[in-house]
Amino acid sequence: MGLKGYLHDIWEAVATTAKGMRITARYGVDPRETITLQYPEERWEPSERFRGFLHNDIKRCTSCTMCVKVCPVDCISLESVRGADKKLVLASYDINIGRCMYCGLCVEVCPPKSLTHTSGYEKATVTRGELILHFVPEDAEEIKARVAKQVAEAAAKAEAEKSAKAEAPPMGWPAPVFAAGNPGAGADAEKKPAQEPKGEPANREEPPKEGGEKAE
Amino acid sequence: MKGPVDLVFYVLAAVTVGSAILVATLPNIIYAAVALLFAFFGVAGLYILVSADFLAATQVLVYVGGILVLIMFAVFLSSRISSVELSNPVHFRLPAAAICLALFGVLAHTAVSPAFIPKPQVTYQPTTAEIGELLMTRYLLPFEVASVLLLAALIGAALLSRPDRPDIPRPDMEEP
Amino acid sequence: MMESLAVSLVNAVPALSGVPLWTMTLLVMVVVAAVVLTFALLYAGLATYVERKVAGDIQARIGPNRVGPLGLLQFLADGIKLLLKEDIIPAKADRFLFALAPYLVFIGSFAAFVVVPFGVGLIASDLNIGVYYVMAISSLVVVGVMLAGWSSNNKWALLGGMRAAAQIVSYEVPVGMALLPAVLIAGSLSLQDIVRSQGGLLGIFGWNLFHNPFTFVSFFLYYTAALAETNRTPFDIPEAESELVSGYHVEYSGIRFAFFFLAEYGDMFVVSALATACFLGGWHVPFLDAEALPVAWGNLFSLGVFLAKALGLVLLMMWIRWTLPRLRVDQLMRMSWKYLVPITFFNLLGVSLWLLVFHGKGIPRMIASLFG
Repeated sequence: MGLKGYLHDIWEAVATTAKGMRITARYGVDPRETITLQYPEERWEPSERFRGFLHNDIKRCTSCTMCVKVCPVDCISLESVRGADKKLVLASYDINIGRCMYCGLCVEVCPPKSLTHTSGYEKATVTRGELILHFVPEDAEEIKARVAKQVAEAAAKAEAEKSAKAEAPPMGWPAPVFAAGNPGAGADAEKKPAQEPKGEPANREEPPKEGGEKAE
Repeated sequence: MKGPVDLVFYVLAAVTVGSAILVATLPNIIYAAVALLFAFFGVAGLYILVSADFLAATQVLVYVGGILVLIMFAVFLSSRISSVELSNPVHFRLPAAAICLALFGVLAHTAVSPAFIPKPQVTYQPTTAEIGELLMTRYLLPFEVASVLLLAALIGAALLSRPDRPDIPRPDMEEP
Repeated sequence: MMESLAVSLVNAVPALSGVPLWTMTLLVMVVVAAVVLTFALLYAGLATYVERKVAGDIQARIGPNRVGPLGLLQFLADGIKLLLKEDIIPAKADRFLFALAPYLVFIGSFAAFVVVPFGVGLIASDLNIGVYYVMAISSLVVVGVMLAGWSSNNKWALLGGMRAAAQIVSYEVPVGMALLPAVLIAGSLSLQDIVRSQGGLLGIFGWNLFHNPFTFVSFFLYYTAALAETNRTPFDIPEAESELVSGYHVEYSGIRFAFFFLAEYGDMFVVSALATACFLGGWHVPFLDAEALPVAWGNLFSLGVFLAKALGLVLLMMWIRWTLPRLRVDQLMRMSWKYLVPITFFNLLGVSLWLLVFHGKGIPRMIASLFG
């Protein structure tokens, strides 16, 4: 390295430093360069197909448990009871969004399209339990008791009609409990037969296959 | 001269002597270096007490900033740095004691001999200009001899730390 | 200066007439020290805020803006946080030295504030050896940093400490050599004398910066070398986050870490103040003669001007920090020994010759005398 190279090095050090400082000065002085979003006050609009928190429109939900079966991380749990009109009544529908990985499979698979991704993404909680979203506002036991009562009433009515009509085929449906999802819900389902209306064990002609067992 | 100045003197002297004793006796070499730091500062304080401010600053700059850092650097670079129990073993106690006693005798004799002329009153006077002038006039030769000696040491150190064979490239020292 | 202040205080207030002079002097010293320390702490706090704001602006962010108006109280929140944090001493660390090191660094950094000439009469102690004193006392920082690195018993801390020591010792040479031109021109090591030597000529053209080409270069050399001595980016290899986590203060937490932090910002100010005093005319107010004004106004103006210049240089340091990437160790040493040291020596020679040939006159003064 001769003198020429030495001087060139010095010149290069000075020139490149000056160039860099000019660039940073431009960023430092120009307020338009600031791209920070003042988050809680202003926020980005999530895109249309953004997969935020899951939302289940329980009025449309048919308790088919497709979402429970397809969920790769088992974050959805569902309990349902057979109502008096033979339709499944949703007793509880919980999604653990702490576990959800926002893959969207449950939304794709949902037959009545009741399950959707919202654009929500803000959920800071103190305890992990708060991360479980409950979609059925009422208590599961209350719903079950109510449905069981309705079923029992319907059965009693059918019985009365049957005795009136003498030899009519049995119409009353029991209230088999369907539970799917996490083990807690399954354990609840095991207890269910005890709460079933007594007196009509013979009426349980054909318990549905998916009922009473865990759909995993 | 009674009062706070005397008190300050005794405190500084105690710090200096106490630290010096610690330097000699502490088994851990790093602790000895730290004690040396306080000894240097004590000496610098004593210089300030006798109005030798330039000398005090030089004491701190050269001994603390140079010598002490070099000592610690050498300790850090030693292979046993990972063991905290760096020791400073004591050897040759008797000869050392004899030499120290002889040196102490010489110093004590000098201190009590009437060669010193006590100044009536210590007043603060800047010494920098005088020192600079004397270094460039009366003591020019010793000054230059000392600098030549240091230059020789510098060149020697550079020569020793070079790789033995200059034809071996040193990748860590090359610009990529 | 302290003694004269004490004397005038004793004379002015009759109630103090019974107090011995040395007690009064000691009292004045303590008060002055407290004032300087308060300034230093306040400055350090605000400097961290400004540093983060500058970083934000340069990186197209906003920076702290939540605590207080414009985030101005952020530094108080940070300070309280640091005070309340747990003080952790690693189990295998050397407890005594681990506790001692932050104080050494802090003292070494803040003792330099003593000779900073804030204004016409605003200087804690106008030492006859001002510049030399700053260089000497800052060597405590090296020892503190090395001890911090060693006592942490951590390989990163040790490497950082050794790098810091090697760096500071190397860069002390160009720093001293780059300051010498100002000392040569003033013929004194006292910072107040150096500042006084730059008066006149509209208060701007008297600056040593414009004295001659060599001093002009000297200023930049000093600034570069001083940047390295304070371990600031781009010369922050002792605490290189990407290699050493954070160097010699990895293991420190809470208030002990705060000491290192304050010392770094204190160092930045001292370096900038020294550059201001030696090259940028110190407290000389442009277009005014601060010394001819009434004492209060003169001090006020000169204090404002000095702080503006010094803090401007601190700001420049922050700007550089957020612009340049970190140097490698060997590049750092190359820069010191192969570039800065030879150039500063050349400069010193140039300034000496200039003073000899032109009888101490600078270019602006020569031009001024040309026009009468």
